[in-house]
Amino acid sequence: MRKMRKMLALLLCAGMILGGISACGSKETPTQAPAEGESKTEESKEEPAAGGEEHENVTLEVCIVQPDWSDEWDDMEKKFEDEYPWIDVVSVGVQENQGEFLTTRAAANDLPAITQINNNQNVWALCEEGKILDASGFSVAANVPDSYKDAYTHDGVFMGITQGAAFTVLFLNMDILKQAGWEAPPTNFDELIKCCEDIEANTDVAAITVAANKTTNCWMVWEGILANVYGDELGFGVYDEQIKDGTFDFAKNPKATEMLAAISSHMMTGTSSMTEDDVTAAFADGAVAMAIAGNWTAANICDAIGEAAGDPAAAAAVLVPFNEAGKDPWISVSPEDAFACTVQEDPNVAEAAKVFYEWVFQPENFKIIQNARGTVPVLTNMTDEHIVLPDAVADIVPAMNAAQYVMMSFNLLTSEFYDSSCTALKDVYSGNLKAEDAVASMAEALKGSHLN
Amino acid sequence: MKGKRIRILAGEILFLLLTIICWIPIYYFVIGAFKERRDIVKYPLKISPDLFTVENFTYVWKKMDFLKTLGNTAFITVMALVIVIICSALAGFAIARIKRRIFMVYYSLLVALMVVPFIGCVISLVVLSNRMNLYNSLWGCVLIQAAWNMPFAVFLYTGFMGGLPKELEEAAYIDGCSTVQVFARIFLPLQAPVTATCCIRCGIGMWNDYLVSNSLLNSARTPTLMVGIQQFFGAYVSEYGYAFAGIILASLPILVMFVFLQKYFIKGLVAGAVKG
Amino acid sequence: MKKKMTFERKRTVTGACFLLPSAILCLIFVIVPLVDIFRYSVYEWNGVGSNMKFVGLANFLRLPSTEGFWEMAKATVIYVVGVTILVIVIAFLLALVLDLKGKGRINRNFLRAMWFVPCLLSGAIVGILWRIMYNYNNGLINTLIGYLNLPKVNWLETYGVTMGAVIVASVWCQIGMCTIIFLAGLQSIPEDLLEVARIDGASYFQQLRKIVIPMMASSITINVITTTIAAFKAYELPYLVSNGLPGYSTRLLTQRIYFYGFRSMDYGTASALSVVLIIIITLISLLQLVVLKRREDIY
Repeated sequence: MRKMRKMLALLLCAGMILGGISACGSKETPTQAPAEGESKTEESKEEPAAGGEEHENVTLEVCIVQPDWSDEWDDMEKKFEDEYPWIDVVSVGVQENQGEFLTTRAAANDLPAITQINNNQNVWALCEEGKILDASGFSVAANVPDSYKDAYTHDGVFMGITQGAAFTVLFLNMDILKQAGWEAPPTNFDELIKCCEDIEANTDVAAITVAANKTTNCWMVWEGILANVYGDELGFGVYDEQIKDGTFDFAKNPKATEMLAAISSHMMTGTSSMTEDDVTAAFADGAVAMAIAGNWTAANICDAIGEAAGDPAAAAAVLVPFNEAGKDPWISVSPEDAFACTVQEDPNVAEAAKVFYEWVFQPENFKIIQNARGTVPVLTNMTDEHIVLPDAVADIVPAMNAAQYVMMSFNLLTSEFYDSSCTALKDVYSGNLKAEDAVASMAEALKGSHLN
Repeated sequence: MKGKRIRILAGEILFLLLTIICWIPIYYFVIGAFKERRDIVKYPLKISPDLFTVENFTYVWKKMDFLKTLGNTAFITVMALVIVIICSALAGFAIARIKRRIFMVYYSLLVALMVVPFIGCVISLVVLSNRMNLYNSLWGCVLIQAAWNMPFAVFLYTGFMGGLPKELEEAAYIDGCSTVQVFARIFLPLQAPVTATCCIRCGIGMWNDYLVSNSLLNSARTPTLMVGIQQFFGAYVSEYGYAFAGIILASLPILVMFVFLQKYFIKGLVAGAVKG
Repeated sequence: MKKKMTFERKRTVTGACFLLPSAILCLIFVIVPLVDIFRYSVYEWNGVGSNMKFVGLANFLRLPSTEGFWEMAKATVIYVVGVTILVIVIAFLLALVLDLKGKGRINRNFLRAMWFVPCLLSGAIVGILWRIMYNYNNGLINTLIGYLNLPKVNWLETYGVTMGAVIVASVWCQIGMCTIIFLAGLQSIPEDLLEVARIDGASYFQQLRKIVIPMMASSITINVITTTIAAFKAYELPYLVSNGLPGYSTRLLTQRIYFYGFRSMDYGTASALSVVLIIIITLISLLQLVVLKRREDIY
């Protein structure tokens, strides 16, 4: 009896102490108002806020997806809170669990006031339920080019401002290329393959890799090939239309399949399961010479190459040379994740969200996270004085702006399609599946996968 | 005789070797947590003062707001354990000592609930707890954890209670004790071992839970340990040092609990679960 | 006679009251969502909106023809069978060794605790830890293999090998718990029974077969059933180790439930798959229970 009592008493005591601790903990952030709307904002400490108005304290929840710049995000958040003391920003990074996060939050009617969104079925469902605020009312929306506005418009709602343009880039460690006898990056597909062969023959470093674990990267390699093979043949915009209708035939031109097979045979072992950080790490360890990666990882990758080579100038980047000799490369472009405001019932939260949203997209603020990633912004009011790109990337921005492009087709297809096609593609990258089988299975999956 | 001793010695060495192999992953992440990423890759198993750094820990500690997340997790675990223990001790007593057919039916149904995968229930639980005003409340999490651990705990207690000799209660009934008194005076005091077992087995699950707290708590405002360390597993998975430091910080408290309860734990199993 | 009736009835009422708290909790938080799974499984619903369209059994009927379904079912079976058998066999042998006492042996309490420690880690932690160790280029395992001058193994991209890798990670963190339960079973065997057998000249293996295993039948039952159920429900650990690659060869049905529910926004199909999984687990557990109980009765 005594032992039992002692144990129960111990447990209870511990529970109470901890309850006390966590209760104290929650007092530290006094405005833990639930977002359901009946928030009783605690005694409003009347602090003079920007603009001289008086505001009640508000807690603003922001959900961000990519955390590789979360330290810089924290800096930016702090800067904001200094300027607007009445708004307490709490941010949560969700990474690949975004779908689950948004769905459960929506079910609980507790969506974060501002959230990063992707152009996918989760977000469309939210949009159709009227949970996403039309961002065209914000003054900063005027700085977004129309094509990016269109890309993020669903059901007539402009869902949010994208962080930048996403396209893939070939990053190179020139130090290793030089060892293999290449003084300059390859400029077309045949050279690329030749370069891979030379690296494999002359060094003990793997030739090329992709962060295939991330579906966007996995798909963009293949789509880059498609864009170059079919781009000139079909003309601008036709590929996008055909994918949308489900009439596109992946297997029509066997050249694309051959290119996929050729590039896959030079991929580093482990490519299919590599995340973007794994790629960065592989560069830092000097284990790989080239990688096809998103421009949004430029800052990290260039640092890593510089670290491995002992010379920052060793990092180079070119548009992925999937083109034939004598032609210009086509690229596949998509808007990156966007920032969306959700519909909030509490007017204070909605007001704070508006303030934050307008603030974030001011060039002097947005550059903090923008430059942390080394990506190319789409906001028209961001000028060279704001943007500090890694040298390697800065060089290709003109080329990228001049290049012909297809819009990335994932945004038009079902999750089931991209799950099955990426499964097949990863198998090709890892050498487990023949390229033609993968292409055939993608062609099969495309039928009936288009939305509308 | 000598041959036998050599055989024992050889067996012991082999066994020790296996134990060491089993411990390599643990050794790897424990020392890795005190190294920089580059050194983890280059010298995975080496211990050297040159490689030592606590930077991983300070970063992780600050980034995940460790004390707050620890407080939340501990609150949920302890409270849910208290509820589970009280409810299942009562239920176990009723099922095992007051034998009624209907109780047995209840028992089978309850134990059958162990097969339900939580992943399929997430949305309806969120909707339900939102309707009951339990969403984003630690108590909501406590109740759900308690409920989902109940089947196994009742299973444990029923097995344990059933294994106690019949004479225990008979004398008390003859003395005119009521059923409640029999439970409180005679059976409750004997429960320490099975309670320790329950604490460890259910406690591990509650402490390490990710799905429940991630979906039922607003992870920005009320983070728990397992939700908090996810940020080091996502993009930072190549920052091995952070991941390892996070693992250590999140697992140390449960290790301490295990060390304290260990003695009772095995006793509880000897006496109880096995006969269930 | 009458007095006894009331006494018994009183006990029944008290017992019912004792059951009440656990019953209420489980009813609200387990049974209600469980019923919801069955309800949602006959609707087309995206999990967010208010539009729910009744579609009958369509969600179930489309499952077998969805891409990769049979591969995933196969992967689930291999995973469950592999994990259960390995965990049970290793844990049993380990328990036997840990039970040995005598001169010249290492302290058992300490070793027992050592083997138990992996069980304290969460599935997500174990998953990420092994993923890091399986990394082809810089993972610990390939580094160790390199020390031995053997060729590196592509743990995460080779059909068959990856499933093995996932199973090893799962087994690593589960043997401790089963071992402890087996140990408990071993220690409840009366010492004199073994003594008698020894005097009769029974060898160690005969003792095992004739006395130890029969006496431990109930702990075997518990371990087999709980391990099987846990393996069927496993989600985070296998996902984090292999991401379901290569192909669909290590993708489990639970991962597919997650995919339908939160990626594809098809909560109806996710629920239908949950229902299928629940039915399968229940049937298999019942089967195991019947078979193992019969064995227990034979002894």
